[in-house]
Amino acid sequence: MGGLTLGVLRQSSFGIEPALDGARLVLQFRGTGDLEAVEPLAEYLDRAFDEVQRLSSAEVRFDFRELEFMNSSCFKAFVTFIERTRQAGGVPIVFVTDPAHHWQRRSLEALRRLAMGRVTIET
Amino acid sequence: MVRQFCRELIGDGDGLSRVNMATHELVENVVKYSAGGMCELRVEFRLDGPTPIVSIETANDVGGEALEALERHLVALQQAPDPVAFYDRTIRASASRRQGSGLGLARIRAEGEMELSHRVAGGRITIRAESAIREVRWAG
Repeated sequence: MGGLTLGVLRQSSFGIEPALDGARLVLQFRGTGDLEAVEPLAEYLDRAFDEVQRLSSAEVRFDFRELEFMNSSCFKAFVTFIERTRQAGGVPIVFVTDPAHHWQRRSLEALRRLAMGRVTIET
Repeated sequence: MVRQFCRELIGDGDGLSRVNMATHELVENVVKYSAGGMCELRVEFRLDGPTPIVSIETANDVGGEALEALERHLVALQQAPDPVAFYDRTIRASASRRQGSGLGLARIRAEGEMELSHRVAGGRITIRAESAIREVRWAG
């Protein structure tokens, strides 16, 4: 247990800021998840998975309200995260979205179908 | 530039979002598979009767094995009767992939609700995504 060991990811057009909200791990995204973001994002979500295990998090919240777009390669990093957490016991995952970003509703619906009952989408 | 162009023409936010996503995925597909040479991107709006249609097309050279794999994937995708079920299967399969996601084109068809077509000529592949758009602001 203890505090967060996960740091901030800062790129020119993409970033992630972590926080703890009680037993929840909250990751706040901003910018555009394009080709430049693919590798850093995949590595970051690997570390986030370790953090979830270390903290025995009750929930993971991905806050996408300031995320303008995400390509399919970035999307795949979330598929891997969801699969890894399923194998590790299935922590609930919440995506917090902004209805003004229309792609979020369409894209995240596929992740909800991937882990029905465990992945929820909040507007 | 393409985003700005489409923003000025497409009146509905969801349609704009679908076109942006498809353009992004097609261009990234070119970046991933291109074997050099000239790459092209073409975005076109036209009327099919009263219905506005947007067409996004990329063309690029692709090396032999990559071209075969890409064409196999495209044919399977185009023949899938249920684009969403195909996309869901591709998503599940992507979890164990080490390289690439293989999701971009399936995403265009399922999430973007677009028809995909392609043609190959002399090692060059042209991929087109096409869809009706609800609201277009025509110039003039």
